[in-house]
Amino acid sequence: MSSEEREVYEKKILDKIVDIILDNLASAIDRVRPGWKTRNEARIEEFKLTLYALNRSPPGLLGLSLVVFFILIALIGPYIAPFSYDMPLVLCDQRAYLAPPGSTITIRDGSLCSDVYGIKPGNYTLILGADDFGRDLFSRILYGARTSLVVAVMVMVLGPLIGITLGLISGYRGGVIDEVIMRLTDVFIAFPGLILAIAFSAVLPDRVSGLLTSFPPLASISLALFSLKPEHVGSLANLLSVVIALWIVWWPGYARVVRGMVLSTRENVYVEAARAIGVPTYAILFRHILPNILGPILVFLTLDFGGVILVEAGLSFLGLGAVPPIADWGRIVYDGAEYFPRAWWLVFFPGLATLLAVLGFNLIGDSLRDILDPKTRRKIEFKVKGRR
Amino acid sequence: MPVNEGCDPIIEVRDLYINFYTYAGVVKAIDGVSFTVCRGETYCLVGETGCGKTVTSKALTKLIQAPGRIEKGKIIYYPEPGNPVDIISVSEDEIRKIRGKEIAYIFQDPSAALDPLYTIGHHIAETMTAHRLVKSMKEGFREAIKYLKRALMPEPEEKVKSYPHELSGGMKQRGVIATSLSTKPKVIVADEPTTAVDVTIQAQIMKLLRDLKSEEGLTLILITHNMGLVAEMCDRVAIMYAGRIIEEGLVFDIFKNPRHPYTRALLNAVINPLFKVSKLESIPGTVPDLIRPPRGCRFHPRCPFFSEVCYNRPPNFIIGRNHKVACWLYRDNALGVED
Repeated sequence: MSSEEREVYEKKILDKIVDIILDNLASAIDRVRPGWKTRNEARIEEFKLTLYALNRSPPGLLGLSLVVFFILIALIGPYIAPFSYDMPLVLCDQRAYLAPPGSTITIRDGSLCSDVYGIKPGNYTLILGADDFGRDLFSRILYGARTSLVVAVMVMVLGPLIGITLGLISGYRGGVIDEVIMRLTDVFIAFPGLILAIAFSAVLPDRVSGLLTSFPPLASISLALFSLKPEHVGSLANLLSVVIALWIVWWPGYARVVRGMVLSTRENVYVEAARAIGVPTYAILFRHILPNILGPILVFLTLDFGGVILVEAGLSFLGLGAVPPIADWGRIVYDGAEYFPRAWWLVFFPGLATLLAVLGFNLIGDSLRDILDPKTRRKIEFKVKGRR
Repeated sequence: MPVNEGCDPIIEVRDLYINFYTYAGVVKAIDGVSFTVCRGETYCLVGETGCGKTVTSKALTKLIQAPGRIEKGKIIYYPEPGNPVDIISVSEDEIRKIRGKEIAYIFQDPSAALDPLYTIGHHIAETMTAHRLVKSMKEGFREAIKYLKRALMPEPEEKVKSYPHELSGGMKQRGVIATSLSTKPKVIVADEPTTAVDVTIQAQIMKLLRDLKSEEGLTLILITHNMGLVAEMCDRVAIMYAGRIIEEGLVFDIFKNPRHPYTRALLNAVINPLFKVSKLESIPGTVPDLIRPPRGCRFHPRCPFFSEVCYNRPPNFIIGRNHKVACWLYRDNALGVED
């Protein structure tokens, strides 16, 4: 009895917040579509328990907050940045040259900056300092988050899709098709991904810029996505080349892992049963096999998100991808290294930003397995409901 | 004397050979199986584990997958009398229209045959949408309730929304049966439908299948190793041993007058619950290795009546109306030999 009493679990504050948010959300949907709440009661309950599980995992929470913060910065960063990413403040104030964090600069009325670039005259504090052109590091890091996120999202949308599809076909079909796809995968895996990506992103820009000039909407959409000024359209080719290069090298891991999981999943009787009732192959693959292996794939995807950010930063550090004055964390580090350790902030802060973003995705990925495990939900359910 | 007198065939299997190409060698799993299933009857395939019952049933809609391969033979399906469809030669798209729609399966283990991620209703609706019997999944769900009712699922309106893990074994099997019924198939292949459920549920499921069969005019192909079930359910029985049908006949003849030494031994091994026996009967020897099967009659190494002639493969001797046996013992008093 006493031990049971100790086991009884009280809801955390976070759990209560989850309850309030979800209950209100459900009632709101219920008003628009009557009966929705009762129909989906079990689903809401499970979702709550999933979030409770997240609340019970400190690394997961930390990871989630880092990732949410990163995405938020990437989305609104360009709008809240005090200066544009390419604003050379040295033109207006000599003190901006390699200004250390916290230094103050003055924009005078009638100067180039206020008349041509439309910056309000007055004193500005550069909280993270500035580089050799006097570009505000804080603003550049905010813009850099956008670059990282857009590249990572673009890569993660198509790369794994190619890999997962090939893996599904390979594992399900078997035979010659499997052999061909897997040997191709072997070739890509045997060759270091980063080096392959370097090769591709060095070769591709010419082709991509040709494509961009012949197809202007693509250029304007990409400009908006990366939040770049129209005059930097030339640099898009480099950024998109990195995306394409990463698509090319990013699928083999997925193809291999998915194939392995398909090999075991396709032996399940429900797959055979689906065949026996005449379900077409594509439906078996995407409705019966893929959802059943989605858990591990989801974990892999999350972990990989950080990987893409890291590789992208690595490529621009090597001088591929973003070219100045485009803001990119890897590139800022590369350009700042010249002044290291005198201007340590040029290396430290973008490095720190990269570290935190990647760490966030890795922490989520690590705790996602526990959170998605139905057994964790059941355990928490017993604890939470014991008190009700 | 004609065999299968007055039979309107719905499925005809002629000289079927299926091999499995494994690392250990070529497994000759099905070795010249021929049989005919008549429209509206219950046909049983009986035999011990690994004798090829399931493989035969899967071959009926070409469900054999690598490393298995149908080597030769003919499987002919008659959707209507006198309208043959050659199953072996039709394309994958064509066979998919037959799978589920014309010939439906009920698998051995209902908990494995249901995808854990989808509700019972979803399975039924998916089957119907795959064959374009309903326009949307939503309509499929409504229809699903009807078929669950048909399969005697308790509270069908509730259970249609249940996931497999929320149901008992018997309920799952009813769900699977409802899935097979939903396309109004002409043939249902039930592969050991009661092995995974307990005896009381077994009785219910078998009664359900029998009722459905008589109401819908189905043809039922029942695969089992339960002799009690065979006696209860079947019209005709084929006994399989090591990839061949060794005896076929009306259920009454088989039980009353088993001819093949293996059939006799098999029936001897059935326990009579009314008598206490000191020792359970068994058949001496082991099931042959199908990679290197015995020459001639595949039962000869375990047969008490073995003679030199058994090194030759026995033909099907016709020994009575609808009764065939593949054993040399009957060569002298057979009424004929099936071609």
